[in-house]
Amino acid sequence: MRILLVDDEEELVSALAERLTIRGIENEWFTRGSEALQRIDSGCFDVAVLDIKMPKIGGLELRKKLEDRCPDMKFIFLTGYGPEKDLTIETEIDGESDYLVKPVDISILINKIKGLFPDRRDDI
Amino acid sequence: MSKQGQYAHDSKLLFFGKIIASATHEIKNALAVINENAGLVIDYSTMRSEGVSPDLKRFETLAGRIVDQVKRADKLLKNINLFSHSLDEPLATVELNQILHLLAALSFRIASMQGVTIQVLPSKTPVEATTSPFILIHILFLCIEFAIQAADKGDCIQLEAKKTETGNSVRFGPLSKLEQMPDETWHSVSISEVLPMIKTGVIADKESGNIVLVLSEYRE
Repeated sequence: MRILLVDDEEELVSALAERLTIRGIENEWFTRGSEALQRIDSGCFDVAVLDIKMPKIGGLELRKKLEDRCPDMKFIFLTGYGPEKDLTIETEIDGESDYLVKPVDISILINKIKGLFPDRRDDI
Repeated sequence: MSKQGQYAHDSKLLFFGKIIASATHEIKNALAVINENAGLVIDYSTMRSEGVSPDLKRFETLAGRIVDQVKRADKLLKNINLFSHSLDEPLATVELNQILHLLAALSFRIASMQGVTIQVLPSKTPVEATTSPFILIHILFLCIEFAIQAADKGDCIQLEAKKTETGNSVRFGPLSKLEQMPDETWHSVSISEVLPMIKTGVIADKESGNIVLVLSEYRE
């Protein structure tokens, strides 16, 4: 299981990545959507965890671009306030994606990732 | 529109809401960073109790990050507090550079989402104005919002306050896309309703790519 993390808050995304690594989950992190898109050229990830509000390319726009190149990739969006305030998320949530309200609880994040892969729960 | 509808869409309330929403989003981000780094400290502490010894310097780095984010959130809260107090006095003497610094901080996120930065140019002497602090901040914010629209990704918008013969001025620029901005864009901004309230005017100099807010001296 390989996770792609993108959030413009470097000290958040790097710490989250380190916490996943400690738990044996392979991941790579970026602070810009453009960097993540470049990285994808050399291989896809299983899940992308994307901040909704980022400068230049936000999480929702980045999803479309990543999906074009990696159609099997699944998505978890990070939002400051949840769907009651961020209505754009509601339309994005389906069996292929989910969301999480910041601050992130790492055990909930891992459960959400597991939920997107019911057949591969032991991989995580 | 009903009186209730007019009240809810009052431009002053919308402006107040926009500033608070942006600042609280930033505070939430600071808390999220604190949460992740504190979580990492707990992870490493658990590892130590299990016999794995992470480098002590790592703890120092994580604690330093937490302290920095507490300072960031504290600064944001101070700015919200300062902004809220602009409603205290209907008329007061204010220093324009201080207000520009406050607005640059409060607009930081709005600008960065558009890939734009804001810089306040220091002035050698204080630039004071006697006016309604809240209306002045409202007008300056509307100018910053317009400037962000008229700037290109990567631009740095400079804010510069100056004393003039008839009062004061504030320059916003350079704005790469000012020449392409249709005049309607400017008129659609609710600034035209607010400008006369404190005897201010705006000049858009498309040639130099700057907009200039002109503040007339207050006379009783």
